[in-house]
Amino acid sequence: MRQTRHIFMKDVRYLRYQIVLVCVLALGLIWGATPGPRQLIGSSGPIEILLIAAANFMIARLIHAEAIPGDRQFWVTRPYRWKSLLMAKLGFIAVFVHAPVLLAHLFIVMLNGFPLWPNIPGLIWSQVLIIAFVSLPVAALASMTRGLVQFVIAGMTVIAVVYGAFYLLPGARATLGPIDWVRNAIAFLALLAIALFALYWQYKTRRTTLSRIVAISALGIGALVYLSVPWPLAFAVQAGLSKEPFDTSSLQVSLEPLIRPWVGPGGVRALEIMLPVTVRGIPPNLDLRADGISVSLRSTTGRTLQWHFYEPATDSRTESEAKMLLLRNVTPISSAEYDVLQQGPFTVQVALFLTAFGKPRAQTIALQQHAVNVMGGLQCFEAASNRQGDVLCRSAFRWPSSLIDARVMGSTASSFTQFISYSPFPATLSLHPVETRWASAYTATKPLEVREVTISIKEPTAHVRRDFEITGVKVREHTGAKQVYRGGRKTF
Amino acid sequence: MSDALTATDLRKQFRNAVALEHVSLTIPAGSVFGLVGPNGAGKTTMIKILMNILSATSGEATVLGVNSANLGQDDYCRIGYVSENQDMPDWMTVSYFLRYLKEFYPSWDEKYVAEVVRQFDLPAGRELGHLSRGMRMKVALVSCLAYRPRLLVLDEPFSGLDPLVREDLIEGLLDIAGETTMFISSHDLAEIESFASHIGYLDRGILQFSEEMTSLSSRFREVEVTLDPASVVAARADWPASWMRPESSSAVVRFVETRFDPERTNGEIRRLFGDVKHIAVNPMSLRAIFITIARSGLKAA
Repeated sequence: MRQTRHIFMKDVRYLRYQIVLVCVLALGLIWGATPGPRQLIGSSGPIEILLIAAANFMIARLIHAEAIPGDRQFWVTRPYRWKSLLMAKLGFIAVFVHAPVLLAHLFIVMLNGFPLWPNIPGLIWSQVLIIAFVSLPVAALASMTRGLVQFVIAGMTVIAVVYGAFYLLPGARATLGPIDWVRNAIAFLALLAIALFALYWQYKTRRTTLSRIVAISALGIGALVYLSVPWPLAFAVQAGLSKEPFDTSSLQVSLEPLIRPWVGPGGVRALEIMLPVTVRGIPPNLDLRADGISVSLRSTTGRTLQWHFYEPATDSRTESEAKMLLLRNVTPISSAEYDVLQQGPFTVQVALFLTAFGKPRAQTIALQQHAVNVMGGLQCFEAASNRQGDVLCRSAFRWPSSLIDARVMGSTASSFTQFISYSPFPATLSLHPVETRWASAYTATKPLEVREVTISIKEPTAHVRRDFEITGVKVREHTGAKQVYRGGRKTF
Repeated sequence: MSDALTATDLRKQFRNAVALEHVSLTIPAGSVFGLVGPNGAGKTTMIKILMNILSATSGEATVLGVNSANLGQDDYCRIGYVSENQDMPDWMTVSYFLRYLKEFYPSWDEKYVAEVVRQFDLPAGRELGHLSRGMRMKVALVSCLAYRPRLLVLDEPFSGLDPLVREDLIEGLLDIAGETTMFISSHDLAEIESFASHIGYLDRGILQFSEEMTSLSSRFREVEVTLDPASVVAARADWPASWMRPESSSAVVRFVETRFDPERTNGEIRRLFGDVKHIAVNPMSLRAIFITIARSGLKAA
């Protein structure tokens, strides 16, 4: 402990100017995020970038003060205990990187009028995410490099490889929509494990070559796992976590698929899939949302084509106790796929992933320019740029996983529900702890001074998968006239 | 007397290059061992293996009775290591560097440090990065002498230093000679000669010999044999193996005897040349011995 403290104090002296810089930038983060609602949208972006750069630079210099690789460092023949050295470094990161950011988050949340206690889990979890995704990987990378030049080159290489894979690998950019958090949890665990192993192994054995090989291999394997997590598996994880307060077997789901390939201008080929879905047997006060569809066409010759759509474009209405969803997606296809589609008939398999939302709550507030606390950890206010009907709501550390609507008196409801995440964790990875979203609730009929907004929230309560198989489906080319084959109908 | 340092069949290979080839040696406690050899001989590699900075490809070494691969915190409290190319924390001032290291060593002698700092004329408030090479070596040496190590390992401590600084360093070392075992690698044969008790010669990764200084000095002699003018000397193929670089010109034969013994050497001479007119035997400096060995490329042991 004494040695840990001694090394820690030496590093404080060594990095005193960087410490001041990080603290000043953390203050800047507070300043950029608190003066008023208008400041909350993107104004602290440059400060966040500077803070990330300054903190990472400081972590790299901290680790390189007692660099691990190499055979010329003065400290390797001095009576350092590896555990003391590692603890001193981690302690420094905790005190001079995480504590300033945590305090900045705390002040931002409090100064913006969010209640403190309900946001403590978010406050802590946001630090856990920064540890796993930023500070520990940066420390681990620094521990495997000799100095700043090597660190920057290695860091740029990692970033280039990640971005290269992101743009070049098929499907790498596709997200799993509201259940993307399952993949992110894998990335979280993989990065945390790799960083912890690299730090432990480097400080204990100083066998850098082995550490580098293990870290690169594990990163590659982790990336492959991340990219290959199938939607059904992620959805099964999500469904396993939901409490399902009603018997989902009572839901009757039917659909009539319309599948038509067509050739657009310039010979671009595409496939349009339309799935009118009817759901009956929905308990009262429950709403449904389609999170994804998986469609597979299998020809009699055994050729199979598959598509997965997450968060498909949806129109919904309710008619005599039945929920009607019209799911539609258009996807570009290759010439080969187009040719296969001419071969019918097909067996069409559809997997439909639905989420039920319940426990509705609503609260009406006077729409003002300053934020007003409403239920569910939300604050809502009027958009300064457009007083005719835009509503802004914000929440601390993450946007809720609920369906949230804003209805200004007399207008139709406008939804905040795009891009929600069903993640069970109380924060997302961000230096800015407040997430703000916009909904248009335009009404031309009401004067501004009497405007009120009703915020309604429905929470996800169940995640349901339904599978369909329809045989003998023929798919024909769309030639301008409506030549579509309407597949068979099946109800489960 | 127990051994402060041993190496057994030590071998180190860097990809295709062999840096050390089955090196075995023993250094008794309390001795001053000088490891000499040309550039690239493997001296620094050997020291780094002994200090657990590098690992050996095969073989093993012990340092103060501990396997060098297992040297840990307690062991480094008893070992001092100073190298010409060691990276120092350049941002630290001399006084802060010494204050910082003090906490790591229970036996740190503050009074002694103050004395040596004064003796070495070290600028306490100057950052290490702003010191000359000689000053940095002095600071490194002070930081090791301060805790009175049982073993002091110095890798090329005198290389490129001006004579005054060398003198200071040697004085500092002489202060602790006897109570501390010293292992010094150096090109500077004159300095090594002045205080080494044992010497080893490493060439292309092979330890040519390792022995006491007195033994080395006594067994190497420059011999000049003047023959009777009547006898003509031709280069002979059967020179004794212990004769290095034999040369002959008219009636004079010169060579370096590597296992000098008056009786045996005279016997060899008379066996080869019969009655000779005169035999001159001259002692050799360490420098002359190593130049002879290096140029002959022969194993001298």
